[in-house]
Amino acid sequence: MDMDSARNAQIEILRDMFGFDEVAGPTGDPHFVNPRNGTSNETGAFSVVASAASAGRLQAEPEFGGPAPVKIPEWRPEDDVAIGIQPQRKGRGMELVALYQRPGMDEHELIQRLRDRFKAEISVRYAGRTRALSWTRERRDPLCPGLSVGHPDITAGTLGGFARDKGTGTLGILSNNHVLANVNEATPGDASWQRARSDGGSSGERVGTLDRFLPIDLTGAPNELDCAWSELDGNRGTDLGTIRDNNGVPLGQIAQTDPVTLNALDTVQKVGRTTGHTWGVVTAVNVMNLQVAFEKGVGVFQNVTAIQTTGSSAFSDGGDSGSIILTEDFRPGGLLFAGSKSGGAGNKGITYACNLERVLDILDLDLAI
Amino acid sequence: MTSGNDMTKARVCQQAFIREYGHVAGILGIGLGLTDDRTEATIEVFVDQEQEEPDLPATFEGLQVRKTPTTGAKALAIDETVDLPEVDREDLPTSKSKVVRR
Repeated sequence: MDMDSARNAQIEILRDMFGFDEVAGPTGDPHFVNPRNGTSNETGAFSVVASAASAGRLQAEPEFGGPAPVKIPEWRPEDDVAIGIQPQRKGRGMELVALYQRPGMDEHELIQRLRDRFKAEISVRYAGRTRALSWTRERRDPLCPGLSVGHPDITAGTLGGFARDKGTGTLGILSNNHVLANVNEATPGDASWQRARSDGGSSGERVGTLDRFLPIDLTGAPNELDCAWSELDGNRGTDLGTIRDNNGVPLGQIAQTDPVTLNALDTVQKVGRTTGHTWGVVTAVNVMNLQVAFEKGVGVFQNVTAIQTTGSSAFSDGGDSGSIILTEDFRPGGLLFAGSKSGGAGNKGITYACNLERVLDILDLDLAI
Repeated sequence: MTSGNDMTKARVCQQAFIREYGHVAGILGIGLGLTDDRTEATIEVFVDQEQEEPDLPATFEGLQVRKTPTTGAKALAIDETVDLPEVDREDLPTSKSKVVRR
């Protein structure tokens, strides 16, 4: 199959077999949009992949306690199949490639029809779920809560928010010790990067200088807090109190600088580097004797708040450490620092936060919004 | 809704529970919660779902004891899994004097 034939075959699949709408693309080329995903403003053939794989259901997962949930349309197999063109594996021409994104679709009738129609001229592969790179992992200016941040020697954590030195008013970044101070291994004066190393950060992305942290005791003595503060430097701007959704759109502002006490059954939210903006509920306060595994050992924590998701996905995951926990009405109350992979609601894990008021007190800081 | 006084009593009860059951294998953490109707405090026990479920009373000093199976907690930067060793649990306060400063 030559390229023209492959393009025509692709059009046949998208228009005739999948029932996608044909619209004029920005360069005049035909452009196919899944009508269930609304009007696409993507460009090029990959817009079909994007609209099918990410723009539809991934944004539509409802999270109770948050904004009005988006209605999820009934699943159709063509929503989860992307059609591309690639060089033939054997031969010098081109062939079609069907990438299905839901496990088990290989035996689906739609895949079988594609095989029957195009036989050796189509390659069918499982591609898994495609997810757009989150805005939280990018280099951003201005800086805002939720972004990837970290000491150069750690992988990635979250810029929870901003705080000022009580005495000088100097502005800095608030996160965990294990994010900005590498679990006690860092030296004040070390750099803080945004984005963090795991997200492609480098020395050119220095945004702060580690100024203070509370050491974490890994000998068995109890800890209460996992916190650190880096003084801002560099020339990036700041958007101090804006909480953004998973598309980077502002959802609201941190409502006050004085932290509140989180209570059992409070609805809470956070924005973090890995899982973005999520909703949860406080299931326990004053949790004692919680053992938390760090890369360098185990710390025992007291007076911790436990949170479970109220949505269909986990409240947090690795890389979300440092996120500020906010109530439903955006009042700050906790600093996320740990979690489990499973257990709790929907077996999505349990998230643990330390007391933000204690963090600010111990580090001599005022929250900046 | 429980009052602050009730929660103070619940904390005392929680401490007694920790003294009696805190050493039991398979317990990952012990906190305080509320019943779904928000009228009574509860003792929330996080138990290791990879171990045999610990034998705990259904109530303790009048508070409902609820178990939540889960796995061990990890710091949530992206890091490697480490085994959880046994640790002593002495009560030492967090102190401002411990803060490392530039």
